[in-house]
Amino acid sequence: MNLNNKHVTIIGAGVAGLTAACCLADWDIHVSVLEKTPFPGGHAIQLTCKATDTCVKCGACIAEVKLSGAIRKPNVHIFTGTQMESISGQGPYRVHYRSHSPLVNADRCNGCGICFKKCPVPGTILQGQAPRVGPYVAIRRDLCRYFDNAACTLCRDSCPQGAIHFSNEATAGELKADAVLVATGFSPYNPAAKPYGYGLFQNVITSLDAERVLRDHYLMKRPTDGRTAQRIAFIQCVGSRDAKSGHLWCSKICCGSSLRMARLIQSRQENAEISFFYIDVQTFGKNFHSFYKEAQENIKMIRAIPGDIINTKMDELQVIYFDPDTHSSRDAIFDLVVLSVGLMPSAGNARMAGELGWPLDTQGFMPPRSSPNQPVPKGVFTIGTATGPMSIAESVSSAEQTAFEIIHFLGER
Amino acid sequence: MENKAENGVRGKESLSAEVMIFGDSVCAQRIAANLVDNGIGVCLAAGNGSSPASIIQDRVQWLSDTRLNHCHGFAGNFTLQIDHGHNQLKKTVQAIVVAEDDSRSPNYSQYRLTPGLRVVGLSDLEEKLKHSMTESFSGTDTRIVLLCGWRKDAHPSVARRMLEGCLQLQAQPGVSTYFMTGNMKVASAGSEELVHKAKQAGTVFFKFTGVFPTIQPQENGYFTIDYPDESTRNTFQLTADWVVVDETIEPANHLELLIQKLGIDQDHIGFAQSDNVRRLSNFTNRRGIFVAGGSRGVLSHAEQLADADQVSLNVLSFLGDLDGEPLAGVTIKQGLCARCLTCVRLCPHRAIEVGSRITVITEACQSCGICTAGCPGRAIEMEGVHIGLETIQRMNHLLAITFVEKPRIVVFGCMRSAGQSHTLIQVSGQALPEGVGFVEIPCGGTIAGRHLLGAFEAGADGVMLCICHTDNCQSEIGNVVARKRAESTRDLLASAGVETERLRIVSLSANMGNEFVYRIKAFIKDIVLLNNPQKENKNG
Repeated sequence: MNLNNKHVTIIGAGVAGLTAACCLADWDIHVSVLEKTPFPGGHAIQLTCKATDTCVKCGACIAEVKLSGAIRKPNVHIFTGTQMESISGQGPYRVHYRSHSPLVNADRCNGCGICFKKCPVPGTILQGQAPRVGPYVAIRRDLCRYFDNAACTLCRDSCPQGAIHFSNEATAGELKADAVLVATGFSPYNPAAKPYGYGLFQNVITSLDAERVLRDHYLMKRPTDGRTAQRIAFIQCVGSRDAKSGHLWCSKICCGSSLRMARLIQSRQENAEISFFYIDVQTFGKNFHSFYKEAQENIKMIRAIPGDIINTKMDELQVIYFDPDTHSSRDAIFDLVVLSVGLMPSAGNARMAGELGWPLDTQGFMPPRSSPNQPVPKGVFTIGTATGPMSIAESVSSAEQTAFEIIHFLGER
Repeated sequence: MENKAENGVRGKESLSAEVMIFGDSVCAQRIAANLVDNGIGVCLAAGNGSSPASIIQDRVQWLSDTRLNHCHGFAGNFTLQIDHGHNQLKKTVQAIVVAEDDSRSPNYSQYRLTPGLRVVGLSDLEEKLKHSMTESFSGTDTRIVLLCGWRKDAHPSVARRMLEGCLQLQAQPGVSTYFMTGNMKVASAGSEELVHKAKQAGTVFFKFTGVFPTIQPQENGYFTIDYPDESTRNTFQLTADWVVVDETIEPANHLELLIQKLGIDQDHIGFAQSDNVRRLSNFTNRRGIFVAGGSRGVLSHAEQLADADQVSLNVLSFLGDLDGEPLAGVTIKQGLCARCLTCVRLCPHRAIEVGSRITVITEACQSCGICTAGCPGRAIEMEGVHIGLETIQRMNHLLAITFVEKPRIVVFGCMRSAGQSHTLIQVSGQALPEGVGFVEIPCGGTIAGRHLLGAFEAGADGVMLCICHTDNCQSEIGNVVARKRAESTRDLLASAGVETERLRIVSLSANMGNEFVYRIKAFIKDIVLLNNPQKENKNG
């Protein structure tokens, strides 16, 4: 099978997109990966390894492996800061994209971190967590005050390397694609609508925030004062299994990642007291039974979803819940609350589905090729969490399996 | 993006090979069809008396009533001796796929039930529903209680099937269903929606935490179920006409023997793949042997079919790679080899062949170097790996640039974990603390006691050995042997009067750049105290 004149465009450079890129590139196919953020690797690349001394199979390291694999392939091209604009043709397709030039010059940036400290909007300046592809430090256009007419230039002015250059320049381009693979991933649920004070109380953070804290600071530091949190609550199913919001799905990964994080924190902070508020504990991994038993022995498992969180005068968090043991309303004090936010369909799914003519499922995900009961466009495929919640290992499976379908499809043409 | 290796691409135009598949599961048959479609010859060793589905009939060599007797050889050239009925058969294949079905058994004992007329296992229920044999369930006021994951949590795919069965039963005229569970497992795609649908259809759900109901069979064949109600904290009673129990999915009985004969690793449950993320998704410790479907874990029907496509891709890629560049060579120097077979016992990839000479099979070798460090005759060499020499160079450099009072540390780190973390901190503009020399090694298992002692000899104040976390070694045992070797080196240090704390073993993963630095700094602090014990006394 000679596929070296075939082109595939993958939309999204998360763990699924990168895995598929590696597989397809092995068959001499020319692969272009469009990534809208400044860095490849998706959500997975920002996760922390949760091994204590033994690997707990969270899969976070896989993202790193797949990314460095994809970078090494000569026939894989990753376009960062690039969004698909439209798609035309009947297959082969023409994919039209728009690429923003990076605001940080990678050759000049030495990673000193001064810009992080100067930036007044938290989260605007990102530091890549992955082997270098393009810039290692990047500025998010959507949050940056320079682009918000406020003309803030603090980072540019303080950069000793003169590496920051504000510009709105974008170049348009197009790619020929014999097949298009959608790997746009998920959007984390925004818990601001829940009564947990997210966005109001800084010590209420999401599970993704917690991953980054553990990765960057080793210990579970509180955002308000940098103190190591000793009493920590995890609240599960924030945004998932939520019939009121119409979210009739389990996000699948949160029980596993939160319990693993809880055990990781306990391995690093001997006296950490952790409470876990849940509806049902979901199975994860082959060693679930022994892991769960150990977790039950060390973590206070409370089968209830809290109703309210109050920030006390002592800057602690008072969590109010209905206690199933005493059958009464209770409260407990914590230093930090972690909300296990659900995996929502990617914000751009509707537009993407419209552009491609792909049917969305009842929940708003883009189901894999095999599942919709209606016709789907030829030569278009979907993988990873764009199709529904899944773990890193499952994203890898989904990508490999779909790569086989794509190779089969391209070979027949 | 510029400095990409140019030899990464290879042609897969002409694959002519034969693959052996063990198993006659739906997964196995789909793999066979996929491979045949790609021009690969397939021989399928099926169980007793089964016959091929029409899609692969006449296209594969179908052997029923088989038993693997012996597997010899290596990736690209396996020789299999198979008992086939009363005959012996010899096959040479390039790759092997294990795709045996799993084994499913109803969980009677978990609910203190015995098999009986009105106790139905999940698979039986599905058969009955499939063939519309549901008359017995319908009638006036038939109560069916479904028991799912009490003291032992159900697998999500099993829970999903229980929910599907429940919905179908609830739709029968005159039937009311009751679903009793511990943790409601909804992590399978669509399960939460099924729960919602079942509730709307009238199924009553009971969830228990810690305390579970008791089920009493009655003389008339029915059951009384006393259950604790968690919101009112009273005990209620329910009479059931039928009870449906969930099931446990385990590896097939004969899988163990196959695993032994093929020399592949097993997980703690008994599936034919160690529980190691580096084996994702279909790989084993042996190159050229793959595992799929119900042989590698609990997979739903849809997942098994998907797995078939995935393993097909992996097999085809492997076959295409066979003509490609081999990994860095490991060679055994014949003059020094005493045929002690230590290397054969150590090799996790079964890459060492015992013939008239002991040789390393390049196609199977994964260049971990566990054998080089373990060989008592030091007869095994690894191309491009000179740990001792590199250590001395690093130390000489440190001795030249570091102040005398600062400790000098040698850090050995596996290229798959600490090596990656080291790159991470470099690209983020950080540097290793002063006085630290990093020596990247192919695997923790490449380190021998002599390398650790060599670092001390060369003038190191402390040596840190960074290995992958337990169960996360590419070569399965590299981190385990590294730990053992380091621990016995500690004993040697102790007998030589050197503090054992000067040798530290740390486990790391590929994305722990910050932790890597954190651990090194903590080590330096301890070494400083060891170097200046008076200081400690003063402070303490």
